[in-house]
Amino acid sequence: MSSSQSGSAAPGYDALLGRAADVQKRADRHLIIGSVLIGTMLLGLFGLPFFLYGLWLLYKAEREGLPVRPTIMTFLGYLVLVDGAMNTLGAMIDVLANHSLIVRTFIMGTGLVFDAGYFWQYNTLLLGGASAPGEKAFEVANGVVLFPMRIVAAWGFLNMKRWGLQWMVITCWMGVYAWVAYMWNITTYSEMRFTDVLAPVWGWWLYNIWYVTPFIVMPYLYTINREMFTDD
Amino acid sequence: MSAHPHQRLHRVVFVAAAVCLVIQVIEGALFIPFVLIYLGFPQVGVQEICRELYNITYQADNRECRYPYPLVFQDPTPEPWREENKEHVFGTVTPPRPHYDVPGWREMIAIVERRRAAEANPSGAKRE
Repeated sequence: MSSSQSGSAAPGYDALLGRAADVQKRADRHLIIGSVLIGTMLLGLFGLPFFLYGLWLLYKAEREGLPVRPTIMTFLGYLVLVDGAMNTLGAMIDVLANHSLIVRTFIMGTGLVFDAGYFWQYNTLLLGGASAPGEKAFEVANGVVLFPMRIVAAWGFLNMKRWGLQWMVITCWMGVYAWVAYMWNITTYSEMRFTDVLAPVWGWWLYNIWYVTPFIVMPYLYTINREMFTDD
Repeated sequence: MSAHPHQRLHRVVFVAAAVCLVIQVIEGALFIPFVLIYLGFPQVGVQEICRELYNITYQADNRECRYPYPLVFQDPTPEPWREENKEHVFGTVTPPRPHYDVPGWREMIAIVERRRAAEANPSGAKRE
């Protein structure tokens, strides 16, 4: 715009934009470090302070009137990012690291508490890990394709790139597909998965329902102004 | 000031996302410690817990949690290794070995003809 090249208000406005960008960058650095640490699960407690500090920086900037990313976008973007990180790790440790001591203990322990798909005949098949019918296919498809794509999409979305918004829409629909398929799979084999464990179906609701991110995020993606996202 | 047309929807989305994010973060941080503490850590070691879990799932009292597990497998059979018959331990095995009697080339004709003959003359079939 021509007003940015001339007029006394322009330098002040540019300085404001510059400060907002700086704060945004600093906040995102803390948020991403926090998210990745939370995504590792075991180091989650160390990630929490980073995450909260990042949120606080953005909150403070908004109170000052700096033009930073809207809070709802920050929450949605990091919701998808944390969801993606935790699910990628959760799936891939069972596929690739199913004979490490901590993974055997944690996954079999979780299986005995919540979902015997991760307990029944654990490590008996050629690939190792969970032996529940169909589960390995979901782990590979979700851990190699869906959730890494969702992490990247969330990052593009948080940087307010147009491709980020598009990838969020695409991977949300992929997420819907994965949820429907996964739900029907565990329901079909519910007799072996949710029998004789400590917290069967209600336990599943307790720990798993919080990952329905596609259904939460999609109504927002379809009702925002796409012009806010940059083309590059 | 004109209100955003989807303001209420966005409010609901925001609250749902915030709740889910907070719970995911807490769950992510505390899930592994909770499971380990539930199973008796640190009074009993991780390897001992692992071994007892194996004993429960394989329904045997002599399983071990080999650790460190060899990086290059010496023994290609899946765990529990050297188990003679998994059906003894678990019941039906996944993937199952159903031993189908697969019909040969156009053998189905003979099968169906035998069936037709048997159904046409049930008493006769019984006598033979």
